[in-house]
Amino acid sequence: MSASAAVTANPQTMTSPLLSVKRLRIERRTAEGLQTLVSGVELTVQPGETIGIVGESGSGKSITTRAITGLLPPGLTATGEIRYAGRSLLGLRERDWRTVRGTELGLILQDPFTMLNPIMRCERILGESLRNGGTSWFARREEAIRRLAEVGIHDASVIDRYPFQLSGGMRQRVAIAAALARDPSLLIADEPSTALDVTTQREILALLRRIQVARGMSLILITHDLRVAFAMCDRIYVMYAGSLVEVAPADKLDAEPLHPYSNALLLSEPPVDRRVAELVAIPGSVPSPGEVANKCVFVPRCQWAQSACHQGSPLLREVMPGRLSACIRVDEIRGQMTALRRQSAEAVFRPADTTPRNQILQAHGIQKVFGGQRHPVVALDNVFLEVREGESVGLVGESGSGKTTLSRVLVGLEHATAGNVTVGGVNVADWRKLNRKDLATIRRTVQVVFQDPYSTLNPMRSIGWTLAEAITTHKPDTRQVDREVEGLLEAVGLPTSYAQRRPAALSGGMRQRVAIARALAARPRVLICDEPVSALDVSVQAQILNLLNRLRAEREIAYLFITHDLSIVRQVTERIYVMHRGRVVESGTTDDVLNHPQDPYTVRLLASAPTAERDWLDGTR
Amino acid sequence: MGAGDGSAVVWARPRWAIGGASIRAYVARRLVVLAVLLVAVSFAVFCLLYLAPGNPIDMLLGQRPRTPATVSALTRQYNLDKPFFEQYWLWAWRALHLDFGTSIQTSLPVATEIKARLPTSLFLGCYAFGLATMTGIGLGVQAAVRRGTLVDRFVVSAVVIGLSTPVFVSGVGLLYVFAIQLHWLPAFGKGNGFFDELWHLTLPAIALAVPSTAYILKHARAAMLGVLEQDYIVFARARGLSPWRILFSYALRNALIPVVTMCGLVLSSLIVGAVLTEMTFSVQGIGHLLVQSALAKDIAVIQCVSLLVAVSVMATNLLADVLYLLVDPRIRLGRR
Ligand SMILES: Nc1ncnc2c1ncn2[C@@H]1O[C@H](COP(=O)(O)OP(=O)(O)OP(=O)(O)O)[C@@H](O)[C@H]1O
Ligand code: SF4
Ligand SMILES: [Mg+2]
Repeated sequence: MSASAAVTANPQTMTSPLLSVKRLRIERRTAEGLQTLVSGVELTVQPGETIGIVGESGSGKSITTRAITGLLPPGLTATGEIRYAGRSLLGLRERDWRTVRGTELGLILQDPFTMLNPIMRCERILGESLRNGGTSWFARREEAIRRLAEVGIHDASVIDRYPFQLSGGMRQRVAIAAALARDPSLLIADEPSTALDVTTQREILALLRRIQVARGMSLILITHDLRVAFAMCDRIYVMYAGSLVEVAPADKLDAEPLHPYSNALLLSEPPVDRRVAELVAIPGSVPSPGEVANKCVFVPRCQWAQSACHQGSPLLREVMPGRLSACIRVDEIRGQMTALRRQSAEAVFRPADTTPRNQILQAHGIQKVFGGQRHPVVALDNVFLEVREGESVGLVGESGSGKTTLSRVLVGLEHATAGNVTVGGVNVADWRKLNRKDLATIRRTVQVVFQDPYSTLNPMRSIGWTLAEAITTHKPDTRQVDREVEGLLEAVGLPTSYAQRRPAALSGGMRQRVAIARALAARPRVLICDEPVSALDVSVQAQILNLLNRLRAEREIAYLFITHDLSIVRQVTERIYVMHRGRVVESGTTDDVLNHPQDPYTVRLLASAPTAERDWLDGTR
Repeated sequence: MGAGDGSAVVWARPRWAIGGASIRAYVARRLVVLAVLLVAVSFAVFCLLYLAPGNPIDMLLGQRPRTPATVSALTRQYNLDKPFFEQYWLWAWRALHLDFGTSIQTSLPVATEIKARLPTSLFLGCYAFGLATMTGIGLGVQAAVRRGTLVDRFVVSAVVIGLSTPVFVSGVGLLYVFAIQLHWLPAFGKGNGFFDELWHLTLPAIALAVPSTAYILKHARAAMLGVLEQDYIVFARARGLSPWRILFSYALRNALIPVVTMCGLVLSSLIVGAVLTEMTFSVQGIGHLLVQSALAKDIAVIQCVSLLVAVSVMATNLLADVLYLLVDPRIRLGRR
């Protein structure tokens, strides 16, 4: 009990909590022995309270929720104490779990596309989830329709559809209705909006909050986005590498984080309302819990780390009333953390000179139609776009808006149905008709960095080999290839020794650096970045964004930055194009468009970008 | 439209009406293809008469004496004096009316011979198919649910043995152990009446079913393992649904979708395996007849049996595909 003494002293836990988790430890049995995935997790949830668990990918959020619901994947075991309304859940038999799951604890998973049984109509999915099995078929159907209405689906015909006939947002709504069918008192939502489009994301979050308030239900919201947690939750648990590092009321955490990791996480989130001089990135990448056993989990990346931080893993302790932190030096460094935040808030971004330059990439009246004559799908409709030398241009829109198709047309992976593309002075209306010299010019002008760096790197080849290949493809007579490879690695901030490594031995952020280095090998004048950071952890995102900004200043490269994230375009571009359903609905300087959006779609998109404000979710259905 | 007036739409759409038209169109297309294939196969079967060594008359005569009378009778019967394609056409026309000529071994009409043996073979086939699917799916599911346990490992090793043992080897083995040593089951014959027949055909059916069982088991286990890892299973458990419901309406129904397509293949392999089994256990079925006729160069019977086999293989595959369509709504309704 000694480990949790600090927690039980917390006045919030003095009233009897609905759920309390103590000393939760999750381990995996492997051939080499036990591997710890999560340790020392302490949680309490009061009736009607919303708590948030925030952490980057792999920090153990999902398996913590699985442990609470007794649904750990095979091979993982949980120890510690989990109590629900006084009843111990750990070690419950499968039969007894049925009296808890669904009726007391509800769970929604991360991915609405895989969560619903693909061969069942919504009616059955909802019907079988309802508590009273005995009522008539007709009554059940009526009830299912009523439940759908509760989650904002007012079209009763949805009940006869299969999940694959519904959009992601609709599926998530159906899943929420199913999870709530037996009226649980606590709902656990594991990143309920991550897999969805930005505008849908906000609707789902608003829905969850509305239901939570209307039912007086408790909610555990898992998210990797601190701003979402601030807008939704009463209290926030920050997780890192399988451990809790900070627990605080949402508003307090927003005002002053009391752990270097939360502080850094807050600083590395790009703000949507202004451009910062430089994002504060956390160096390195997220370690596995095993790498940081018996010391502070944040040690490898913490600027305040001292020898004391290596001695044993610090326990969560109450540093202020209602606030827990696992940093042993928090009292000493509080002032410095505050200074860091102020510094970042005050640093003003100095815009680069905006003298008009030559145009290097232009798309004119692009039309792209997929499918046959019977079912034509217009992916791009009369799109105009230009990029000038040294300029950074954003292309913003949701999935399906045509962003990626446009980028593929620009680099010749797709042929436009109509319209003109000019790259570096070469007219490329029809790629098939270009001669080799023109093609070489184009390759030297434009390069692409894709969303998923892993799938574009050859897993069998070392990083050095991949880069050398890129160098010699573009300049076959390069003599000192090794020197060039080292130069590229240095340019993207990787140690030169990494040339020997295979992609599998690198983290996601490092792979994206390699992908950027490979694109730079051709010394392009324009880099098309297609969602280059959306597969990365927040703390690593900032590193890559800073790298791209730095490379631009050093090498005078222009960017066409494709993303759905408005706070990212704000940080890296001067001009943007907003796309919606294959059309450019608005364009202009980034500041103008984001400060004074004209098109209703831009307004909606802007409202969907999470902000820490509590009223962010107001005004949605 | 709110929840209150939702009842107005409750009956709006009959449950199965959505995909009906597309299924009918699909089946119609497949039937056309089947008909074309049938013509090609029947042509090949007809050509057997000409591919065999010697001249057709000698083939058709068999052991009978060659006299001008018999020769002219056969020439007339098989239209051998007509042009080649007309011969085929006339042959096919009669075949369509189940007239395949007479067997040279018994001088009885081929159709009569077949009719006498078909029920036994069908019985054996259905018996083996039932055994194979039930044990294969049952054990496969068990193994998947108990992944990594002793049960699973035992079943997996049994699959390897089952898949690599030819029908006649397992047949002889079963015969030796259960019929000759233990006297539990009869060694040959087909028995009279349903239960006696069941009794007599048990050993042959088991021998015939062994490789198919192993094959179905392997795939059912793999499909089930894949399904059990899916998020929708976790979500179903998280809602407190009963384990039986999760096993049957969630896991099994999804896992069976790929298994159903395989059943067509399995049936086809059973038809081939039946020849060997019927010989091993002296069961007077179609397979037995085929071997006898092949030895006696009884071309009319061979033609008929070949055609029968081809038709049943094609039909079972069509059936399996249609079934697949029916059980998987994503295919039936066309993914958006
Ligand atoms: N089925 C499993 N078997 C073995 N290890 C697992 C399994 N599921 C998760 N893990 C491990 O547990 C750790 C935590 O994973 P978890 O899914 O809880 O992270 P998360 O915080 O939810 O991340 P994300 O934001 O990516 O969803 C990871 O190191 C992961 O490799
Ligand atoms: S304990 Fe040390 S290493 Fe850990 S966060 Fe605090 S200062 Fe940094
Ligand atoms: Mg997760």
